[in-house]
Amino acid sequence: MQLNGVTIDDTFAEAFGMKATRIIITAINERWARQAAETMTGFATSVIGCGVEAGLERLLPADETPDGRPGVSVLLFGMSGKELARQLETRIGQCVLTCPTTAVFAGMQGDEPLPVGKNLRYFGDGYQISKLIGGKRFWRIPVMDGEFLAEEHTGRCKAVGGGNFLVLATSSGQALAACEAAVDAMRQLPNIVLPFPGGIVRSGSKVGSKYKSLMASTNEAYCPTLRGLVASEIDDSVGSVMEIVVNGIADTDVRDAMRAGIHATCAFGPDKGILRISAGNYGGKLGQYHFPLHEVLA
Amino acid sequence: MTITLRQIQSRNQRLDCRGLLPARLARMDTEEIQRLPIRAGNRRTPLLELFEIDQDDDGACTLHIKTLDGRLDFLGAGLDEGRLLVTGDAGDFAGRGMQGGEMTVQGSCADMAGSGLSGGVLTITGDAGSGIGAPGAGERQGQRGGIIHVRGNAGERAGERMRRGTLIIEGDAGRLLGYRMIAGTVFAGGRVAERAGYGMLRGTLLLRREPHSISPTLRANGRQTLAFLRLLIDDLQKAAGGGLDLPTELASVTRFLGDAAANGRGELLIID
Repeated sequence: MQLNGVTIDDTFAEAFGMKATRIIITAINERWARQAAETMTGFATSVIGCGVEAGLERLLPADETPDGRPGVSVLLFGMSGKELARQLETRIGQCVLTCPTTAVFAGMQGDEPLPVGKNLRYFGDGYQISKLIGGKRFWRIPVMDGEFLAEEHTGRCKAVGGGNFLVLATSSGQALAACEAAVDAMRQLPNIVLPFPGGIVRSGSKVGSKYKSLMASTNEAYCPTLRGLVASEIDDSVGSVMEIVVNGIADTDVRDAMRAGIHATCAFGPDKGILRISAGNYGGKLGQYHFPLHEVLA
Repeated sequence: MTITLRQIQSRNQRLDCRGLLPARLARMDTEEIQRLPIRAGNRRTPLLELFEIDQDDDGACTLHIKTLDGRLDFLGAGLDEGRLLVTGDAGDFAGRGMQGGEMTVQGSCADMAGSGLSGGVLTITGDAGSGIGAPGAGERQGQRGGIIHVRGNAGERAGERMRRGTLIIEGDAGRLLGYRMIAGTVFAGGRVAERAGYGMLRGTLLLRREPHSISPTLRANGRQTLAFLRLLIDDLQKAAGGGLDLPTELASVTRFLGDAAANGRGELLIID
């Protein structure tokens, strides 16, 4: 299959069932709402090392937030509800509570509530105030710039993590330019996040390692510097491979995002160094969700 | 079914109207409704002798009571579903112990309206007497949930020992507003007489105007801009169906905390 002269491999992306939640962070202005959101999602690229995968879903204008201030919608994905709850609480406590003027609200109703302000309230050392507004409980925690307002719970739902595609290009600069365009296109869509830095991964991994203590290691089949040394998946024309990983609330969200990203990437074409699109999988044995590239683009 | 009870004539005795509930009457046939005993003074009187009864099988669960005077007590007491519309004044204890449903009094209520209310919405288009939402005799808590909305003025001790829920008074409020309040939210849009928040433990008294006086046991906390206020104001507007005189932007308030005499941590907020 070809798209604008770019070869689409007949393969599939393999993704996993995850648990997800959404919170809304607001602040006095967009700068500080975004600051809090970026801080809490900064070290949240992969569950392998971060415990959770997270990112900014979208900026929210003041008329779309509960307290009428500018805000940011943040999605977090974890492999288990318990770990998701632990990471959510830790990250809000360390990154949002500490950030000037912020407040945090539930971003979804889900099958099971996750604590947000429920335990953070103890930071108030007995001076915290509970307020039941519109059937929802909020905690008002006194802090040095006023009050930190946190809704007691947010919702949790089933989700899909690990949708991906690989961009095989002539050079790193060309791969990056196309991937940046793909990220911009994908971030227009709701219910997804691209958890890696700037939405792009340059260190795609495989499961396992020659070192027993590591559960993941470099995907040598796509490393240009190992061509000739290992069973490589790339030919001589490929000088750089980059990956875009997408997590979504539903498989359709992931599919839509992959489609938008691949189209944006392929728009660059071979003339601008984009040669092939492939995808990462584990032989189809580990993940519950498969996204065949040809079907995604059909 | 919409059932309409039209009071036949004004009487000297007070009528105890507890039990006149839309869902209960909807389950009765016409004869049962007519025979339903109502305590008038010290004797029980069949409903038919006191009210004209109309029934309209329109699929709704509504009871419409048209009163001639304010001597009908306990209207809507224990209401838990359906809609009760009272046209004219109501006596004492209107909506007493309501748990759900919707009750509207198109007129004024005497004392203790919404006493011990724990759910549903009680709307009074006129004035309310003293003790609105207050606890009944021997009870430890007053309003425990739901919404009470008075479009006119309210008498003394509105919101006494309130534990949860929302009390909206669009007009003036008498002495001891939020007296010994335990939690919940009280909004007063008009003038507020002395001793507001006296003995309050927690909860929020939101005042649109400077009250008559501030108790010395409420400690000045200065001017504050509180993020939760926007949510609260939106919720109050929603509860009142809009039209409350409240700012649409994030407002600053002058805040008082207490009552220190009761070791309380409630707050009295005056919108700047």
